[in-house]
Amino acid sequence: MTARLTLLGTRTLCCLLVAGCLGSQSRSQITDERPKTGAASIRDLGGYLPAETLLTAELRDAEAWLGELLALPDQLSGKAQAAARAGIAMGSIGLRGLTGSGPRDSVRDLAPGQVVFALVRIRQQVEPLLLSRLAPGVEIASFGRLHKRIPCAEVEGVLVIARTRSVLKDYLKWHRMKRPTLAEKKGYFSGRPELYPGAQLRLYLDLETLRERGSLDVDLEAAQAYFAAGWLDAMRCASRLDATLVWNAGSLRLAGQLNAPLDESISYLASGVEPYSMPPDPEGMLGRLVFDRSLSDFWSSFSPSKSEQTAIDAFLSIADLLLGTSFVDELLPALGEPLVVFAIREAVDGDVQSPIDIPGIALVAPIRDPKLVPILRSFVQRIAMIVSNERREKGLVPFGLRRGKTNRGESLWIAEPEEWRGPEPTPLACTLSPTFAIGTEHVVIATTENSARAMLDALASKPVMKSRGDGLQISMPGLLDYMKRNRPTLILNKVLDEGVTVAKAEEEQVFLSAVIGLFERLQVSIMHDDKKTDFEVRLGAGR
Amino acid sequence: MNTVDSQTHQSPLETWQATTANPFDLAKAGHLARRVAMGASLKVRRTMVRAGVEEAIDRLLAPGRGEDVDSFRTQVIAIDKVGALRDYRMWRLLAGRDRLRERMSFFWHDHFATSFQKVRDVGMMARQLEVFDQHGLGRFDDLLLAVSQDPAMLRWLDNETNVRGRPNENYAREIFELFALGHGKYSEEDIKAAARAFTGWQIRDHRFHDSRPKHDKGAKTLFGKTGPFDGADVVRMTASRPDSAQFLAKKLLEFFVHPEPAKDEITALAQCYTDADRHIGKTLSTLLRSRLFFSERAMRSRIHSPVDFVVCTVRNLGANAAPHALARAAAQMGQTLIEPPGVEGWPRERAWISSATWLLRTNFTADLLRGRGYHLQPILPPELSGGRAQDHLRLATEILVDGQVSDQSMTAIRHFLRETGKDDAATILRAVATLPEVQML
Repeated sequence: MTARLTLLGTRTLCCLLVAGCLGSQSRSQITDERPKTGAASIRDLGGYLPAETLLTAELRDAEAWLGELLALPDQLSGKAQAAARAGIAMGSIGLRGLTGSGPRDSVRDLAPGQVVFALVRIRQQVEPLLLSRLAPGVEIASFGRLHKRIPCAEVEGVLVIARTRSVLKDYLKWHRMKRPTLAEKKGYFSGRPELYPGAQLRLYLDLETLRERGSLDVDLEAAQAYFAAGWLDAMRCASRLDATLVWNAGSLRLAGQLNAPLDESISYLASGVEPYSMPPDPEGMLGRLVFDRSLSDFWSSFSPSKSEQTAIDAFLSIADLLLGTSFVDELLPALGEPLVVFAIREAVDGDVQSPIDIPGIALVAPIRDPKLVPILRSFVQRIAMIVSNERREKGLVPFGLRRGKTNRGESLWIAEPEEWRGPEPTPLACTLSPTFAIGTEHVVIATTENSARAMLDALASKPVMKSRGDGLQISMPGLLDYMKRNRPTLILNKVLDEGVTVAKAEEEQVFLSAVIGLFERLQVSIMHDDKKTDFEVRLGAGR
Repeated sequence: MNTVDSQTHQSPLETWQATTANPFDLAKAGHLARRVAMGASLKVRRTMVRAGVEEAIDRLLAPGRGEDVDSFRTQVIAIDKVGALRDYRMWRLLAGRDRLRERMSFFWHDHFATSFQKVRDVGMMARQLEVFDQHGLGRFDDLLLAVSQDPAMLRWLDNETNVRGRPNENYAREIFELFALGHGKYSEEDIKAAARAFTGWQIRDHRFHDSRPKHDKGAKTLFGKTGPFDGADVVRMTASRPDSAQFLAKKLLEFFVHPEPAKDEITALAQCYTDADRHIGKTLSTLLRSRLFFSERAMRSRIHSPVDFVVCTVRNLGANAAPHALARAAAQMGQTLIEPPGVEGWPRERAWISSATWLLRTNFTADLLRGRGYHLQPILPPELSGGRAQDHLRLATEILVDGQVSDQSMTAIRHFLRETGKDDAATILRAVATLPEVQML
């Protein structure tokens, strides 16, 4: 059985899980119904788990989930459909071999309601356990083959499955000794099941225990610290993480909460509590990444490592010289929050023949102090000139500087590569035209003139929205389109970086494309307030 | 040293024939695989033994079942990063389907050593390597002309600045000394004449450009002949000189046979090369089938360069590994592809081994076998995964050194295993990987 399941491969199983969640188009509407007769709740099953449990994950209604899973292939097409059918067939055969009946009957008998997966500490080891309450009148002893092949036992009508028979023995010993259980742990369930009452899958993670084991120690460099700030800080301070997975009508939503206020030392995140003005989406937007934090405050509070400090000092000495003023004290405070990075669809230029096709990237930030705009502009111009000269010295195509204007009169400073007259293909750098612009109280730095113009148009013509927190949004069809257009490059990168064969890389690309193709949009949001951090990941057709 | 058989007067390039006393065994198949294909899995080597020497060579010289590496060339050039080009070339050496062509491109990359450090143009470097791919097994005249007109070479040896009235002798000197004739086989007057002949060979728009106004059209005297020669004439006249045949024969023998070839061996191969109309592929076809190639003197007579070492180790294990990680490992051991240290190429043989690089090599193999850092798949060669413990030592030596281990090494391994009390396949393989024999090509 194990060998057969291994044959399925993790990707097939992953596909089944993701697509299974989506297979419920019309049938699975989330309801708030109570557990069925014969089923158990997490509180009930908590009485069968040790107090030292790191993680519990509760599937609310295994029978309903199975129904959706079995109907999954009809919702898919092509290779994904074939993979799903193969996976289900293998699983069914395996289950029949163990229980003597098909998937529906097996689940109805063995796990008619909740199924709880837990990572528990038994004899100083972290071990996985699977628990469910058997249907009334069902006894595990009547499933001879299951009992023989899988390390499982029945405890007061609860089915317990362990990784090995030795772990199961230890578990049963623990149960006989009546040591403290999770259900008895003070405050463990307080507020948890009520947090997301309709969720099909709930996950509770004990961060304090994880920290004790050193599993959350992370050491980040400057840029990483800036981007991951908030989230990591919350992980550092919170005692627990609660998450839920909800699927319905073709969408998947993972939402959760960390129960910790922000550390006061992370002052650059303080602004995250207040709503900010969000730059509007440009035409052809493929993705948006929002960082709601002050660059200036971050810089002043960050303690770099010794080696980083040397690099930072070197950069600052040059930056201050070029600026004629202080980069840290004068320039950075001129930029407000949020810092937003947009990926924008680029029109394909018929004259440029590059096998690599990347979207334009535009970085946008509000300007706090307009007096510093000329300094910023001059700084960018000088940097562009230095880079261009460096390229010329290295024998690379130099970038000429030119000034452009929008029809609204906004100025753009464009570093434009000389026309590529060498043999094909055109190097990637020659398809870029780094651009700096100021428009509607925002500074825009973009990889191409087109994306800078698209951003300026959006800033000028669309209303500014109020928003809060960090966020990521990706258009999945747009991402898929770029993946298709850059397929050979992506395959090559995978081959060179991971050592897989071309065939394997192609296969993975097909799988990834199939998964991405299932969704319309990916949205991630992280919001901090003075009590907690909320996060949400949505895959699907959107709100 | 003279290796012509004084009894039979056989040429060292006579075709080697397997006999009962001297069969085509795993050691010879491994030798062939290492020198031509940069290693092969034990399964492939055993198949070679079963097929016999003729068929094994024919299979190695024909494109095999590897990856279609050529189809990704435009992506590599467009990415425009030297790191990507380096990883790509490492991938070709590791998995390209035309094994001899990849090996020869590596040979020519060292022979016509050109570094990105000065050229600073990924496209130019990539195209120079493509010149080796295209002409590396063809006529040397064509290769030498293509290299002489290659933009990366024109920049590397300053022919960009070689114009009428102000000749730059750099390329002319190196084409004689390092690329085609060897030291002392030309005069200073020849260099001056050749430099004038190469005037006007420039780069325009990243391509070769023959600028006639910048070319010195006057008469030059080269190798005793006088005429209004241009660069193509110099290439033709140089490649056709007997000294060039001797020079190339020596280099090919050093690379494929022995680091110190004997005079008669060089003479024999030079003659073979001349008879083959200076065709490298035909010359190699004769050499690789010869008694000389399979002689005891040739077997494990060379020391792996870092690139040879990492590629050969992975291929002998029958595994896949990330080309990026392998290129980085080779660089740490002293050989950075696309960036040879100078116009003379990389150091050779014993220069590669020091206490530091020995440690790096041993750690590389250990990490590789643990599957750490190189994305190795699988971690254990299939031959060892199901074998019996008592067979593991024999199999491990066959995988890594074709079973050719000295008594001294075998005693050391057995002692080590006894001391540690371990006899699992991974430990045995790691122990065998530390043997000096593994460092020999």
